[in-house]
Amino acid sequence: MVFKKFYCINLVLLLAFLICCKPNNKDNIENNDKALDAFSKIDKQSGELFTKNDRIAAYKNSIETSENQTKSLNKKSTYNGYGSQNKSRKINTKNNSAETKKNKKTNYSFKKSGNTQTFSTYSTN
Amino acid sequence: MKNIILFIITSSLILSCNNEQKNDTSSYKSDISGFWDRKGTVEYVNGVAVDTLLIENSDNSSYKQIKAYVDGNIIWMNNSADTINNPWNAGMGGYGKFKIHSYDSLTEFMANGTGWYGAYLKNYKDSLNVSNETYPMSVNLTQNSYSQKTGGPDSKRAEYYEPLEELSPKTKIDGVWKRVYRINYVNGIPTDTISIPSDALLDVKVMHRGRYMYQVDETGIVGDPNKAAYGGYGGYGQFDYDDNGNLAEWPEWGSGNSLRSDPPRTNVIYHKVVFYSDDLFLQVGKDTLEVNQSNLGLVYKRIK
Repeated sequence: MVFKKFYCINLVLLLAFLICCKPNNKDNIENNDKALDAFSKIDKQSGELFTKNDRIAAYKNSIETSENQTKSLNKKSTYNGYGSQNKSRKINTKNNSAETKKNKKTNYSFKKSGNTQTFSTYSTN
Repeated sequence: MKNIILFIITSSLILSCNNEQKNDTSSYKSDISGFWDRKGTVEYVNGVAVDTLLIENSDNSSYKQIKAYVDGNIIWMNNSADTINNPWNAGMGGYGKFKIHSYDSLTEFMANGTGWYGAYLKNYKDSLNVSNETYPMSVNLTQNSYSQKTGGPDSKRAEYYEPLEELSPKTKIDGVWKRVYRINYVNGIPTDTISIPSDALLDVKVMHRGRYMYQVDETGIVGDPNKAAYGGYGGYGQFDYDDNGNLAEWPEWGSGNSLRSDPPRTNVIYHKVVFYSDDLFLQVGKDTLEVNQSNLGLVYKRIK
């Protein structure tokens, strides 16, 4: 009898849990509408950037700001727990030939190179 | 009498078959749809195909060229890198629209690209003040092959392709997508959303039955053809999407500044995908070894 009661309670709790955890479509639709609304505001904001240069500058600025924020956070995050060193160890890059090699500057040429390039519609016109 | 009836039936059958082949291009659209793998070059003499030179038997047997026709869009890429004449290190690619005229001809309108072709196309468009370069082609499409000639039917060479098999059924993410917004995250928290200046930067991604290809044309945003970034970047690979927001991509090789050569399904990149509607989704790179993908939010809109 006690076992049956316990079983019934568990069943009710399980059902309640399943109902609560079921993804709510209404919430999803509301969230999507909010996102679409936010994007339309961004579109409106971008529309105010009249010239192509303004749009490029805004885009570059956004990426730069984000990168700086990430870098700044990374600088601040230091581990000072067990095993940490007081001074940051400099990494010896002397033996790393790949990094010490000076990058060769190459300029773009409209001429196709004379290597064994396979015939292509888009590069033989 | 019997002979007359037989003659009429035979004639009408022949006529109806001919009409279908000349005018109905709807089946052609589905026949050409998908990814195509360049296998070689067909040689013609007096308009007659006399030989097919296969890449695998050539001096340049590692050459790769793949193109895809999906929903009126064409995208292609090759791995023809030239680090002596170009500041970027990988091959080239292009993106545009295409139109089928008849069963044996179509025109490609190439608008953007990466690597040498991206730089060439930018110069072409700017110097002529046009939005694309047109490539009218004579084509031959069969069940197991596709070949294309540029320069009219009298051309002596045609690119020869074979279809790449479909790897998965159609999913919600199948289609052609253009990046419209970028969401910047710092420590996993979205800090800024910026719309993509589409007149200066074009990122197009084709997802089709388990294969993908993308091209990011940065010529408009970088400006200087002597900078490596001018070559943009692109990639080809395979993907899985479970229709529950989990996207896995296995890149294989790239164009522009994306130099890689991985066998299929060796290095995976995971993304979380959220669909705002059937035609708009957010892709966020999960923590992964591909640092540039991690915590990067890109919103794509379907190109119809």
